[in-house]
Amino acid sequence: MSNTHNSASSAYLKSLHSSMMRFRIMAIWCGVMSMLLWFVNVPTHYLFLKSTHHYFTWIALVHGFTYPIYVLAAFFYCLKARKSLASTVLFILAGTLPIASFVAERRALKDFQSQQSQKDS
Amino acid sequence: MKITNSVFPKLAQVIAALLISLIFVELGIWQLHRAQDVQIANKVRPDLPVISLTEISSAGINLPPHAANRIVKFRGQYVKTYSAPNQTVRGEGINKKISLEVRLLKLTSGGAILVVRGAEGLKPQSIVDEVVITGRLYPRQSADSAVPNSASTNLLARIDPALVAGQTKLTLFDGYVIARTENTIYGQGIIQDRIPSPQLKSKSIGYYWQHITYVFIWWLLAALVLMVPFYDRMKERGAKSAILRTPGVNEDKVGI
Repeated sequence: MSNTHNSASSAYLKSLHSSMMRFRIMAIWCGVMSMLLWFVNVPTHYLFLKSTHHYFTWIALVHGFTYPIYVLAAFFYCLKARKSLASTVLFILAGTLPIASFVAERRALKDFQSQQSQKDS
Repeated sequence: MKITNSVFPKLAQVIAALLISLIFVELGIWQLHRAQDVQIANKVRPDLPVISLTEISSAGINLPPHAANRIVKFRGQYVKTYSAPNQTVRGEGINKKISLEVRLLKLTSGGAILVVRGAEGLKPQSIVDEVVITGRLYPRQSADSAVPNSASTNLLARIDPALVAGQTKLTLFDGYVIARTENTIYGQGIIQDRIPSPQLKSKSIGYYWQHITYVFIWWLLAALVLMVPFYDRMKERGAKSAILRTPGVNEDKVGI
């Protein structure tokens, strides 16, 4: 019975691990793109070096097209990690802020590691 | 009674999810319309017939929105010459930065307007008689192309009548004109290295593909919101299916 429980738990962690990895990759990508958007694209559009803005228009486009992938990755990760609805919303919104998605990525890793250590102990 | 207690919160959840989802769908449609607006704004439309400058604008007032991009005709005398360095010239396969010759023209009918004659030559032409100008009317520039130089009064950091307002007692027209033809009152054309004067495209409403990405995001969020009432069930089912894939585990043993 204990062996069955262990293998079931391992299967769950394995499946959670792959969802978490997908989420982490997208969180890092979205974090980098958000930083470029907030600290390069927006200032050159509204504040300074306005004549150079056309060099950076691709940032908003790339971020816009990859954010839906982040949303899906975050949603399915939260489902798999059995997060509450409020946490899921926060994880999804984290992709719009430059630092928040890095925080979410660390949080996901920490949660996974704690679950893994619980299983090992 | 027990059934009512469990049904009502669920029903409220479904209705709330539907309403939020509807809002997101509407936001997507709004972005889709904005994308269509951008497409329309960026389309080159045929020019309207040439109109007298004084018929569509007046000195001392802001440029009316419908006046921008119109081909205008007016008559007057040049009173001052300026240089606008580092100006980006686009259109007709050209995209380069050059210095432009800008002159302040005192209209016969009153008031004055900035006229871009073309690329700056080595020596400015001496034009003392009245000239008849035909050209496209543009809104004033808002961003500097060159570093403002307070020491040089004939250097324009941007083509903006506000920069020359202190140097003349004439009432100025808002905006400026890029000359297409420049004739003497006897109809003789004045030779000058002209620059293209394409229709100005609206940049303020954003980019087409950017709006399309927003459409995609809003509609994706709308679909996800529809899943909210079933979120808890999906969560449990997801965890259960991962465990059920384990060899030796069947549905009876899963205690979730």
